[in-house]
Amino acid sequence: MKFFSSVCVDKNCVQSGIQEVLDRLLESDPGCILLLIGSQAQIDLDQLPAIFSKQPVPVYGGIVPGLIQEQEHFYGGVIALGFNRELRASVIEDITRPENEICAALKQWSKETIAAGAVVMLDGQSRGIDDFVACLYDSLGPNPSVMGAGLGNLDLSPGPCLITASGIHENAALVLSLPAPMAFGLHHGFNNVAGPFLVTESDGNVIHSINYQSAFSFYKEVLEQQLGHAIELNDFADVAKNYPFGMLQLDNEFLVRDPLQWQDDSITCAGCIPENTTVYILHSTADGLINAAAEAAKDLNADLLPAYGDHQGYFSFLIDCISRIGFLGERYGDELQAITDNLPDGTPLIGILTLGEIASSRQGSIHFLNKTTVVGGVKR
Amino acid sequence: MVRQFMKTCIRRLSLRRIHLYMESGNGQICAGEEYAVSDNHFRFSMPSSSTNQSSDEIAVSYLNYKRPIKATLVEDSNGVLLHAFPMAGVGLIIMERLNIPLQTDLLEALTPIIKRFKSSCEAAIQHEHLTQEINRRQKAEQHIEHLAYHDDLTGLPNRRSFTLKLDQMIQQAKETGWQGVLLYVDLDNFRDINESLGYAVGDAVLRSIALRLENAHYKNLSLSRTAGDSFGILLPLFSGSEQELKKHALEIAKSVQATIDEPTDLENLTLSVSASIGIVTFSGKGVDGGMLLAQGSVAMYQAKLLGRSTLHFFDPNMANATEKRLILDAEMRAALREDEFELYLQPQINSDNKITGAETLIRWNHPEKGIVGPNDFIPMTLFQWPRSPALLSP
Repeated sequence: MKFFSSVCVDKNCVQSGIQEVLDRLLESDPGCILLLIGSQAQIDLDQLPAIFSKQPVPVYGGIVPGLIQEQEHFYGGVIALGFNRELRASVIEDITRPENEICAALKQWSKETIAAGAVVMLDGQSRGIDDFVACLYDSLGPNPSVMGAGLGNLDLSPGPCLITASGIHENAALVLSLPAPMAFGLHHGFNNVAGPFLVTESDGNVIHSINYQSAFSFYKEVLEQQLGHAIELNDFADVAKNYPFGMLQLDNEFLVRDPLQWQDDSITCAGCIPENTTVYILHSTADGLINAAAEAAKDLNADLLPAYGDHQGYFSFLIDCISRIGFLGERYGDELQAITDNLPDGTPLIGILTLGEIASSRQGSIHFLNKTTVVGGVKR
Repeated sequence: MVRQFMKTCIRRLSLRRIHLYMESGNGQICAGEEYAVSDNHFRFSMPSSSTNQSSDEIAVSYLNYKRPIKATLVEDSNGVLLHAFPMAGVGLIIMERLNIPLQTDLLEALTPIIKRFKSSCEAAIQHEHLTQEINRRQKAEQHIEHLAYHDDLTGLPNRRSFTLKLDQMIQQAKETGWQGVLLYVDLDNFRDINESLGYAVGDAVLRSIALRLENAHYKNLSLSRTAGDSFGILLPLFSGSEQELKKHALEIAKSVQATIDEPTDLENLTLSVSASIGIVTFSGKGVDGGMLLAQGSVAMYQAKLLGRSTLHFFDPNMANATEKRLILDAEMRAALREDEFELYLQPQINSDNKITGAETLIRWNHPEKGIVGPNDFIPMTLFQWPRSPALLSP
């Protein structure tokens, strides 16, 4: 089963071109449309709800740091996905609400449809992501395959990043049910270089102390030991992006937590690190990341529907953390090349650069990931 | 606590699912959806949407044998690995994984954690039982309090409750300067129904009338059953003139009569009952609840003298001696509280014009009647206040 009736990529799309993109997509008679907008596109979000509401099918939009087509990535323009049937959708407002309210809203959505898979797009800077993902798993169970992304701007500026016909939304999530299961490959390529350490005090995604010492001082000291020299505070951000935290999972995989900022000796991460968690400091090389991306594509390849080899318009969809560009710099193209090289010949690759990734684990539970490459397609 | 534990297990142990089985009646500690797996046990799962037949079958067999805490691994027909952790006396935890079982050293590390979780569950269950007991007692106390202030037959507030409300309204009337109205409603010839058709029929009629009065247009009125076949009604305080107040009171009283007059359909018969109503207006000065009820009763009897289904405003001049004494008694109790009695000392002088003593006189400074002499009230009742030694000292 194909997910998409058609896909339209317009790297230079601006406000005036939105309707034209939608018109092109509507020719394939889609059931609904997902419009992914590069955060540097010259598009006025406030005008989109009115445009969406005029379309004959439901349209949902999301702002992402960047977009991907084959080996190219870009920060403006749009990628519009026409789904070949209407997907059961729900917008969950204020995902920092108490868990029971989020669960009730998600159960209302999930009980209306038996989903084989689900797509989640949520505000990548919300503090409620981990609890939301836990509620999503509680509502869906381990069987549906779930893939999703953290929305937001390239410069991490906060603001609305989800758009529907009813308005623009901040701190919200969009869930779409899929009629067929998805296959994934996901890897990050980071390995531990220090640890284990105990997170002795934390609050959601803010670590206050590690091994009973102030989190920032402790982390800085470990990094200085790794580098063999002192780190100037001005350079700290550049260094830290290459040394994320990792929470060891039982399957010998690390759940990566990216340190985003520090204040008053505390470190704010992308995603929760609960108290009493054992963490490691991770590191990698450019080749390590590129190889991991290739492994993700290979894993996906093994599970893809055989129809992918027949060039029948089946797409692979990439959700890649924006921080990987920060790490790889000019070699980011090599990562995209490694992914396409390991997909079935001629399989088109489209994707997004995100603020965190969401995917089902091998055991079925759903995780919010950082610094990870997730590539998906229709499962065999 | 249970939910958090299960969430942590899923995250830290990379579980597919986790189930907690417990005895029925302890579900409150899980704070979530529970599924009955047998007559005596339920399951709480995370994710809550998922079910597992194999897990339930294993659980039921374990729960019937109270074994010590020791993890056991079972693989179901679908290749799902089920780690069972029996918690004697509390229940059972089953953790699910695909393909790779939990390692032995991890299972050993989990044993003390499961023991602590079991202890927490026991404490939570005990706490829950205690909370339930406290709630039961609170409900019983509320019921007793309800009975103390409500009439068992009709469910309406009783005379005690009505008197309290009346005192409150008198106080409000005093503070605001507004006026109030009391309707003293008495069913006509109700004794005949009880004596001829039996008390069960009488009770049914009373319940029906009470319900009609409650459901009609009296939401803003305070309605009570004050005696066997009597109801008390208080209108909201009124800021208009005396004339407007009386007109308003009359309209409400007639409406009450119309409601009562409606036929009461019982199983085999239809009964019609009428009511006579005594109406008392009050301003809050020099009155108390007991006194107003007494005045209401007098007005109601005055109405009955005019025939059935009649209305009458309270008029102190029409009260007979007994009724007057009743009213005076209530008025004097209010006067005592309001400190309206005053002592006057009249000197006694001898032939040399020297003061040899003083005669103590008592006067009642009535807020409406002015100074009332002792002849009007001392013979009416036993009077204790002047005996106070402090007040009698010169």
